[in-house]
Amino acid sequence: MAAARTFVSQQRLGRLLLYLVTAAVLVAVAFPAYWLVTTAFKYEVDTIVSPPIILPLRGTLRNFTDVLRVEHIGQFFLNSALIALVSTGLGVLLGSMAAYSLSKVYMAYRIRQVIMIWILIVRIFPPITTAIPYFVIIRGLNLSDTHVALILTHTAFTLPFVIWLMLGFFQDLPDAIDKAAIMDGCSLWQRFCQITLPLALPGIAVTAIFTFIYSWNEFLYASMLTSRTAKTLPVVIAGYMSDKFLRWGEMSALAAMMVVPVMIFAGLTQRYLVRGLTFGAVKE
Amino acid sequence: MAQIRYQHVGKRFGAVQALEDLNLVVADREFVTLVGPSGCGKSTTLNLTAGLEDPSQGEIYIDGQLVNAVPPGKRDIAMVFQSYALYPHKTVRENIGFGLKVRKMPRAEIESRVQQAAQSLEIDHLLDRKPRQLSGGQRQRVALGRAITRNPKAFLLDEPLSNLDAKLRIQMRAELKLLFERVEGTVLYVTHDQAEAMTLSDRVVVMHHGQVQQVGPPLEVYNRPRNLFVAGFLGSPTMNFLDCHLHVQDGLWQVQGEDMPEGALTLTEADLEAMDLLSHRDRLHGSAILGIRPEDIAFGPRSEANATGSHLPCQVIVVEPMGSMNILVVAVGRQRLMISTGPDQDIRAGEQGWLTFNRAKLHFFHRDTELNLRA
Repeated sequence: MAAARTFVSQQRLGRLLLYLVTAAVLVAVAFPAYWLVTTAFKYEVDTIVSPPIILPLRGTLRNFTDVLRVEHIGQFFLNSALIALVSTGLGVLLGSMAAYSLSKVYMAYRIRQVIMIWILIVRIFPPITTAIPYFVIIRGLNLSDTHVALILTHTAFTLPFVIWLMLGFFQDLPDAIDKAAIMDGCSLWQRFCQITLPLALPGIAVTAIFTFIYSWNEFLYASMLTSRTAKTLPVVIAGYMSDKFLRWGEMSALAAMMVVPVMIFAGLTQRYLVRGLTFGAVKE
Repeated sequence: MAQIRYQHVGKRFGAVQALEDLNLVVADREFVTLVGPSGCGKSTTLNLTAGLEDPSQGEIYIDGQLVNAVPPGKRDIAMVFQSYALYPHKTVRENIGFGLKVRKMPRAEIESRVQQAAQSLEIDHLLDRKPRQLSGGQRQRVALGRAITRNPKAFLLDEPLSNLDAKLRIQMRAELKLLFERVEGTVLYVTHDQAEAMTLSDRVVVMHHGQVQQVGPPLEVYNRPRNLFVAGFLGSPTMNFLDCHLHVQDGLWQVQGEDMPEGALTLTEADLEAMDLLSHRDRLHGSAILGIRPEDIAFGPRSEANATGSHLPCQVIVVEPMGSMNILVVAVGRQRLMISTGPDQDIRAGEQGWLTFNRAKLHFFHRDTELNLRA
């Protein structure tokens, strides 16, 4: 009886600890978001007082209206969206094709390893190390301050990530399904489009979300390769920071607005994130 | 429908010879089963026929046409996989009709063929479901439907029943037989289950280490195994083997061994005649391996055994009642033999008795070549 009680109380203690840890993680993750949103609604004086105001009792929409009055802000929004969407589409398409061929083509293990590492090397360097060459090349191609410049660089940067991630998903697909499609008379392209891609949709959704977020938030290359025509939102946000002023309110307001499309995009792709789509295909 | 012909076909994976010099003709509308332990080359043969692998040497002909360089989709062959390999994102209807759609058949024609296949497999009420909503047996039927709807030159089946539970497997086995009789298909069937091989096939091909051991109708292979491997592989419980030595004494053949005392087994010319060994009797001198199937041994008291002229003392170690029969494990000296007896014979473990061999059903194998001395 005593032993049983000890066991139960141990269980309770364990559960309590679990709740505490969960709460701590939740605060750590959610607080920056909370801080961002509340700051976006604060009066300018409230953003710089010490101690900081954790729970603001008054608010204003001023930061938002100021941000929306910035010249060409609509175009910058569209720039960000266009560049992120196109580079995501391009990256996922090209990366999936590369991953599919790597997963299905018979190749000696070592050769495949070398290729995979080679692909990864692009991501091993800190992006800043390749910034100057990129800048020179883009200028040489007469692509400075164009959407194409950022689409190309973002696609190049996300490709290794897409290939590695998609390779895992493709390798998880049962080999027999591919063989069945071969026997049904499908060409390589038909197999890729009609069988493999639909089955890898959860993988594609995950990959697309990450790729989109990367491109949407990318700052370094956007600030370097664009000036006005193809300027993106992260560059606009950075504009609120200078040696003379730090406009926390506007910065937060724009950042809060930037989060919205990402959430919409994630929401749209979320329904593909169900696991076990291949369930029922083969019996292992 | 078509004939499949293999001429000196071999397949090597690196250092492993998966298939060696296969020469076989599968006749039009014949049901041929490749059987053997895993790694014997049976699945390789199937993949080579399908075109999923390229042969390292030799030629494969389908319907008289050399297909070595023909891609799988153009060979007009259907394959059923062990794992079913249904397309999980397509409905049953789309799964069955997919091969026709890829071949750009008109939609109405596809629909009518899908209906026909589904009806013959009794899955026409499941056409709008996805594979994950089906039971194992139903998925198996969809996989079969996908194969028959294309009306191909030949069917390749790779252990199609091995994922079903025992009861369903036996039921599907019978249905498969009926199905392929109805569609009059040339069938190449791979299994490691000898019951499927025996019951389904016109001919079985027993394989081992990438080599064909014996080809023939199931009963012929069962009754006249060409070598020790075939004898041991087919049959459940398996054939018993005893080391022995043969010599002639007073016109009778004495079969003796370490565990077989003198007089335990004597054979007359008539017995050799029944075993079809009379013309090969010169091969019988010296040491050999005696093979006898469990159902060809009777267990009883001495008086009963005496009458037949062959008797071997033994002790029962284990009795396994199977319902329809009892399987006895008996000790003969240091050897263990398996015997199957009628279910009504009351035998207890520990009981002493005598074994009587059905002398017409004995097999003798060469100790080194392991070939049946009759072969």
